[in-house]
Amino acid sequence: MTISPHDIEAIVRLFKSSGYGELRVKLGDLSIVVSKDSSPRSAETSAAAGAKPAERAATASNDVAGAIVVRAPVAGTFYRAPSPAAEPFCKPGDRIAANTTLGLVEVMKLFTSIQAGVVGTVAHIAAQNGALVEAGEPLVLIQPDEAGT
Amino acid sequence: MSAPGPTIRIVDTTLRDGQQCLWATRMSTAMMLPIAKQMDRAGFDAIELVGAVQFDAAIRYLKEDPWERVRLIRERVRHTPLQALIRSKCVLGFDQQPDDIANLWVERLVANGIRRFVAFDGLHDLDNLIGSLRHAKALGAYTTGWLTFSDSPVHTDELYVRKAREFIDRAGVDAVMIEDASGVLTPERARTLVPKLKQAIGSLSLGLHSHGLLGLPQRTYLEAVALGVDNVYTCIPPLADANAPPSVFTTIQNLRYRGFDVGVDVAALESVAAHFEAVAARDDKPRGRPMDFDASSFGHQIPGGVLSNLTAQLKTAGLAHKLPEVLEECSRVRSELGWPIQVTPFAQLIGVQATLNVIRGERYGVVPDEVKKYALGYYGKLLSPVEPDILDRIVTNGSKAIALTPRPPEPALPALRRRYPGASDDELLLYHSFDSAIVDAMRQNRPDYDAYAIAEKPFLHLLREIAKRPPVSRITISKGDFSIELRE
Repeated sequence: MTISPHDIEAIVRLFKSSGYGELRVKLGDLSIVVSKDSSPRSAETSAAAGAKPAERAATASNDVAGAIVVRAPVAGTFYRAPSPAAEPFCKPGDRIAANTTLGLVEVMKLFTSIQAGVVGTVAHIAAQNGALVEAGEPLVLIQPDEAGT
Repeated sequence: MSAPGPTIRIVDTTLRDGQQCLWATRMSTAMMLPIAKQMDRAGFDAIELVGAVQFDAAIRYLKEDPWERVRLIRERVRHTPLQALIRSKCVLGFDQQPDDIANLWVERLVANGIRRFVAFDGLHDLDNLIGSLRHAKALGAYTTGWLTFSDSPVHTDELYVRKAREFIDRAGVDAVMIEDASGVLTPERARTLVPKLKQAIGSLSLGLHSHGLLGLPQRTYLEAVALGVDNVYTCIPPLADANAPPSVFTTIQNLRYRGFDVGVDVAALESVAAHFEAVAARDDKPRGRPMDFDASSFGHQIPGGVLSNLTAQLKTAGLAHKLPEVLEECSRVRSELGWPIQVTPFAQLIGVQATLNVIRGERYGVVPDEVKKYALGYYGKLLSPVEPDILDRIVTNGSKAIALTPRPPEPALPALRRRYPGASDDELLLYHSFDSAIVDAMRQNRPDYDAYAIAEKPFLHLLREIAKRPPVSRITISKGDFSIELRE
């Protein structure tokens, strides 16, 4: 039996994917020793690091006086941006028109754009990005431009 | 008439459609490499390898480079042409791509080893395909226009004849085929459709690709080849039957019994089937099996995947008992929307809108963006118009951010080149269609292409198996002058 450079690469890769800390292979006068420090399996750490941190839950209260509550029309997943890498549609303080898209509710891979239907200012984002929302759940609070609120 | 024993050619779609139907498109390159050469020896007319969905799965879930898959397979498949699927002017999802992207996809697929293309548009709006098909031909590829079979008042034999002629006249295709994604093409319908198509396309090749979920393909294939179809699509078990295309073994056996000449070496495929069976056993993957006719599925024609999603959605809403109502609503919505095909992605439009209608108790009160775009012609010209008062509701209740008239997308390459200077065309296409973080994660991963090697060296196999298991404090194995030791 022979060990090729390709095999060595495979050995190292397989060893890395295992839970072992040290590997020794001997074949005739060929000896291979591979070791890693005794940290937890790298798979776990990278999975934790790679996961998108959930958006911090909005801490402001939901009862902003006079605000219009824009609610999820159906149960689904709420997204604040058109795609994972893109900027959110809106943030508190933004001025909006009646047909400005504030977010998306995804149902079985189809996306429903959520709009306020009024001119105003975004007061508060009530639901987390990527969260499962129920029908009627508050998503965004808007301070409308009407007089007398 | 034809000489005794006309030849029927077989196109294999195990690596594209079989695994898409049965393994959720999660067949990795490593699973394909060990048997690629053997598949090349079998005598297939073509091996269908990729569509956009395979790219998506490779990048997102398997974290491997789909372009590299094409190259690696091409290295091993030297004689049989590799085939790629083009869906409309889309990559993933519903949105139409600019021409520069659509053309670059064709170029890069050819550059990486693809020699044949099949192209389809769910609305049969061939404006969405002409550019890509002509470009492919100009690059020397063999092109096939794919007619998506659907059972509806607008999907008549006459429509298919018109579209076949349009494929030939406007796109100069080398061949035409019928794709029956829902597996609902009956021998009876083939008896009218196939002769009319044959007459319309003359000496051009006519293919048929069906799916086994209602137990029809074996009989429909036999009827079709007797009437002029000259190539059929199959898969290698266990990635065959059920909602995948029919088994190559059963199909060829039946064809030969009926006197057709099939130039495929079935014996050469036994080891390929054994390999996929071993992969299925090892990784706990589903196996296809022949299905029986189910009248309700034949009636509503909703694809299995959409049906299971609808059921889950209703359960979540506490409305599981409303499933029969939703199935009825699907038929109603399909009719109102102008009879889109009951095939992905249009099957989702129908299913989701029907579910929303039932859950809300108000028809078209909530309209997903995609339904409004579909209705306004964003995906292509509709074969039959949306019912006027339904269109009104869709326009009124759907997103106001969607313009009433679609605008063709702007070319995307200039901005992409500026954003990713130094990136290859292959990379640019990935960055265009996928999140850059996901593409980068894929590129950082180094897949183990030997993971399923048949003749893996025993000590590597041993190490692989040990590595998979929870570690013990020490293992030592030795034989002769070979020893291996692992410590925690």
